[in-house]
Formats: sequence, C-alpha cells, structure tokens
Amino acid sequence: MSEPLREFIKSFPLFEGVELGDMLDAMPNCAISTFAEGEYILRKGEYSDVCHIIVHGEAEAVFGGAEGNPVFREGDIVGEMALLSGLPRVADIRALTSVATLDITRDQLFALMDAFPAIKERLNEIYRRRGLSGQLARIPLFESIPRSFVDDLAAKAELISFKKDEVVFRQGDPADAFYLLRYGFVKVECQSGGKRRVLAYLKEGHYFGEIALLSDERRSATVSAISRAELIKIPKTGFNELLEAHSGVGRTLENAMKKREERNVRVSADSHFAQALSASVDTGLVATKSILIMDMTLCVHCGQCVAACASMHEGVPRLIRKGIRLDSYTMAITSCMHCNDPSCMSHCPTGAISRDPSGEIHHSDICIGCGSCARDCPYGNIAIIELGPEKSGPGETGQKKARVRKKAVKCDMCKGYTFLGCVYNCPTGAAQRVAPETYFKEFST
Amino acid sequence: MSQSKAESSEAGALTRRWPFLFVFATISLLAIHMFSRDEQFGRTARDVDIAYGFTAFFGAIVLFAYWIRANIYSRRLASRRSWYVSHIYIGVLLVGVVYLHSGFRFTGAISGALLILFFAATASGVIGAVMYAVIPLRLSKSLGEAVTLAELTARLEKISVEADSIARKAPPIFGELYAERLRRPIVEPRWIGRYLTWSQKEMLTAAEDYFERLRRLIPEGTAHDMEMLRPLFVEKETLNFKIARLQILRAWLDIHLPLSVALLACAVVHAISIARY
Repeated sequence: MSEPLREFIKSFPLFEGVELGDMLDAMPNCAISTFAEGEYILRKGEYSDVCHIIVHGEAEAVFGGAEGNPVFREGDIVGEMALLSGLPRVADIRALTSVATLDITRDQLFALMDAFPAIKERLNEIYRRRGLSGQLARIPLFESIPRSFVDDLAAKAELISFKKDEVVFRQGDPADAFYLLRYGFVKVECQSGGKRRVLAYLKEGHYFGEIALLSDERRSATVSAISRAELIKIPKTGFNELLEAHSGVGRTLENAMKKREERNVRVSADSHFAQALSASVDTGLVATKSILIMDMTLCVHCGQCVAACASMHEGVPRLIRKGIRLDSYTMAITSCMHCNDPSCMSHCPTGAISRDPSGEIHHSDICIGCGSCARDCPYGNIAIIELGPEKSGPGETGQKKARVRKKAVKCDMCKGYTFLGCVYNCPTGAAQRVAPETYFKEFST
Repeated sequence: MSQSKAESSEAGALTRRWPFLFVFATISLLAIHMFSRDEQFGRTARDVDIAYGFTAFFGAIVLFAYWIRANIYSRRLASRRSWYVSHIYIGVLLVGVVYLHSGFRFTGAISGALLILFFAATASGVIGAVMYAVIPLRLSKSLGEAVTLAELTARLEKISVEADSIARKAPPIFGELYAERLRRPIVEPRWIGRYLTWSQKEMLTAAEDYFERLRRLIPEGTAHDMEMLRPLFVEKETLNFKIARLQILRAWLDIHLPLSVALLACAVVHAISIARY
C-alpha cells in the first residue's frame, strides 16, 4: 500500500486514533476497487464477503429510486451491515461519480472489531445512526408506535454482541432488559425436572425477554447464541416507559407471551417434535442456508446420490450419507450447508473461500489444501483430497522431489449444472435440498 | 441460494400427474376395447391389435430406457424420480395393453416365449417394487442410516484388518489360537440365510451368545485380548445383517434386468417376424 494512501486511510473517521500499522496487520492484502459513474458498487438482494470504504468520489444508496437517497463520501463505509449479519444487501449502492474504494473482507472486519474496540464502537454508532431506528420501526411490535418514540427508544438501546455458545441470560436470572435480535441466531432452552429442553430458536427481527419483565419474575429460560449474534438491549426502564406510553404494545406482548407459553407446553408434550427441535437447534442447523435432507422412509440405500455426485465431480463425492438425525426417519446428511456465518472462511490463508451473490460458498483454484477450513467446519462437510504429485525443484540432495498437491472439496451446489446431482438422481425423492428458514419454520417462535 | 435449482432438481409435474394419467389411460383402454371387441379378439391380428402391439413395444423401450437413464448422471434428462414413477406406472399399464394385443394367448413359439418373458419380467417388477418398499424401510428403521453395499463391504475389510492387528499385538498363544480357530468365525460372515431370518434384536443376542462360546475356547490370561475383539465381532455381525438385506435387493436387480433385456430382444424378433409375415 502506497504511503499517501496509508496517510489517507489514517484520516478516515472510522480509524481515528487507531495505530495504522496494527490496523493494517489486521487486514493484510486489502484491495482497492474502482467504479465508473453510474456503476453499482453493491446490489440489493446479493450476498458478498466485502464491504467498501470510499477513498474517492461519491455514491448513493438507492431505495426504490426515490429522491433524497443517502449519499456516501470519502471515508464513509458502505455494505458493512449486510457483511456483519451474513444477510443479503438491503439496498443498491451506486456510484454518483467515479469512485475508488478500499475493500475489507468479512474476516478482516471482524478482526478489526475484535482488535480495536473503538472501531467496533464507531461501527455501532454508524448502525445506530443509519439503521437502528429503521430496524426497530420495521418490527411488527413497534408498527403502531410513533417514529419519535422509537427514536427515543433507540437512543436508550444498547448494542451488544455474542459469540457462538455465549449465554445472553440464564434461567433464574433477574429480568433487567428486553432484547431484539439484530442479526444472528439464539436458542431458548429451559431446565425442568432435571431435564434440559430446547424450546425454540430465534433469528433476526425476533424479540425475547418479555415474559419475565411482564410477569415481574425471574427468567424462565436460558437464551444463548447459536451463531455470532448482535442484540439490541432495551433496559427495563425503557421497556416500562414503552408499556406506559403505549398500552397496545403491552397487549401485543402479553398475547405473544401467552402464545409462547402454550407453545412451550406443546413442545414438552410432543417428544418427536422436541427431538427434531433439539437436534436442529443444538447443532446449529437452523443457522445455515441450505441443508441436504434424507428422508429415510423413502431411501432405498441405492447410493445413487453419492454415485451422481462423484460422477459430476471428477470421481470425488461431496456428500457422505451420514449426518445429524433430526428424528427417527430424517437425517441432515454431511454436505455443505452454506452457513450464514461460515466458520470455514475465518482462517483461510489464501482467501480461496468466497461467497457468491446468491450466498453459496465456494473454494477457488488458489486453495492450497492446508485443511484450515476443514478443521473449522463444525459439521465435517469439507474434505481434503490429494490431486497427485506435482513436480518441483531439486531438493537438498539434488534429487527432484514430488510434492503432493492437495485441495479442499465440498458441495458446490453442482456449479455449472442446472440441477443438483444428488437430488436429481435420487429415484425415490428421499434426497432433498431444503432452506432451513422454511423447513424449520415451526421451530421458530 | 439456489433454491430454484433445488426445486428444478426434484420430480416434476409428470410425477404428480401419473395417478390421473393412469386412471385416464386405463379408462381409455377399457373403452376402446369395449367398442372394438369382436369374436376375433385374441385370434387374428386386426389393425387395432397391431396398434396395441406397437404401443406395447414402445412402452417396453421406455421401460428399458430407465436403465439407461439410471446410468447417466450429469445430463438433464428429467429427474430420476420422474423416470422411476413412470417406469412403474407404464409397467402396470402394459399388462393391459399386452392383454388387448394378445388376449394372453400363445399363438406360436416366439409370441409364446415373449408372453412368458413378459409375465416373468412383470412379476419380477412387482416383487421388486414390494421388496424396495419393505426392506429398505425396515433397514432404516432398525439401523437408521443410509448405507450401500460397497460402503459396508469396505468397512468389513477394515474390521478384518483391525482384528488381525489386535491378534498380532496379543501374546503368541492367543495369536496362534486366533489364526487357527478364531479368525474365521470372528471376521467372516455366517450363512446369509441366518441374517435374513433374524430381527436386529435376535441378531445381536445371537452375536453375544456366539462370542461367549468362542470365549470358552481361549486360555485364561488372554481374556483381555478376546474382549478387544468383541466390539469388532458385533459390528461385523451388524454389517452382515445389513449386507444380507442389500444383497437381496441387488440379486433382484440381477434377475429383473436380464429378463427385461431378453423381453426386449424377443419383442424385436416378434415384431420382425410379424412384419415379414
């Protein structure tokens, strides 16, 4: 990176007070992109694994082509919210002039946030300024509330983040706040009669913690993150003000609370449902994007799914017909699930793993087969294969050494084909690719 | 995410419509038969009978094409499920068509052979459909995982290697006894019929009983080594339990497929002989 650019980056408000050398250590090999006037920097609905800091020029966020769109200038960051949430972009970003941007990948951004609390705080502030009120206003619970009140509530809200498996609160804790899920996934579980029971999972836009506040009791369940999760915490005082000022919200919450309690009783009574719920939530399947399900009532053990996969991928199948049992007859089999928060991307030394605009995760040809992604995948869905010996230069003894080249392989959703080999070649319809969002819909609350 | 790709990979509208098509085709065949029925039915070749013959021949080719489709994975040739469902429905419909074509009468050596082959292939198809509906489901119910014959055989080989390795590391007296008297019962499968008659529970009980009998053969002091073989033996028995069932399915295919090929060949000869006549 050139010296003028380093100095220029140093002047960005986002990086104010941060030691440049340390910061660049956290984001090595970051790239510069250029966009012509009118060109789209980001497209609505697409997934991406980079966000952009504008180094030169101006860009605007396009919300349905309306006038008065927010304009971003030098030093502004765009695309960071979708990047952090792992969700598709919510708006188009279009260059108003010729634009140059500094591109920061998802992992670099997380590394920056972890290493520099000041950067994290500034990103939260940006979110608070740009998105929090809007996000609160979009939640059905707050639909009937005047925007001014929502803005006040947003000012009182605290933004907190949780890593996978971190506990938000425990059953029996005093109730001190109401929570809204900004992004990520959490699970709700309780202990009763010495048995742990998963009650539900919650995702972006859902809220929790209202039962204990409304009933003025201690927490009735434990809530913990099943992926990286960002929460909006509204303190008890703010929550009580909300209820006092808007009785409608209280009624809505009470109705929701009753429904949740009825549902919890139902879950406790239905062991099959409880088993499937527990398996899908505990293993984090609900936080993925696409699961290969095997219906064992239909499977005839013919192996055609594996044969088709091998045939379409140079003889190396990308699935193993073993996996997570959801219930007696349904299994989520070992095949890439294209997670919302992909662990495999975290430590790739070459940046060979990327997410395409549709959200699928792919390995590129620059993979060196180090195995870091395979170790990080919580489901064992990535395998390292040997590609055969590769000739290299003479060794110390003067003899030519043959180095075995390796590569990571995983389900690529049959890239280049118009169908999924395993599903298309299953004679009984036992193999199906499903979206957890719809497949596990009844597990959410 | 390629949800549209996932959806396009599943069975299409034809699969869902087959029950209606089947009913429609059956009613149509019955109606045509009622209106065209006369004294010559099944005795001479009327134009309508020849049309039935062509239909049956074409149907047989479509049925056989399923086998070709089953071996082509990477081309878009309609989903395998659509083919499978069509294969079953067309197979059943052909019984009616062949009846209308021949009245199930033997009128010569070729047509007689063709009819016998047709009955044999149809019967094997029906038996296969029942077997595939029952055996895999029971296997899934008792064992709860999707496995193939090749995977199970590979695991059996590993068990054999692991058992040999344990015996090598054991005291020589145990090693010799293993080589002479234990290896065969511990590593190799029993007669397939035994596995087919047992339920999973019976198989596990029998495995434990058998292992206890083998344990009595070994001298004191080597019980620890023998115990190390127990999980391998039980796993071997479980694998053979699965293998026996999957082999039955495989064996059925080895009957149905040659019968189908013979049927098609005979149908071609029958068509040529009729054309020449």
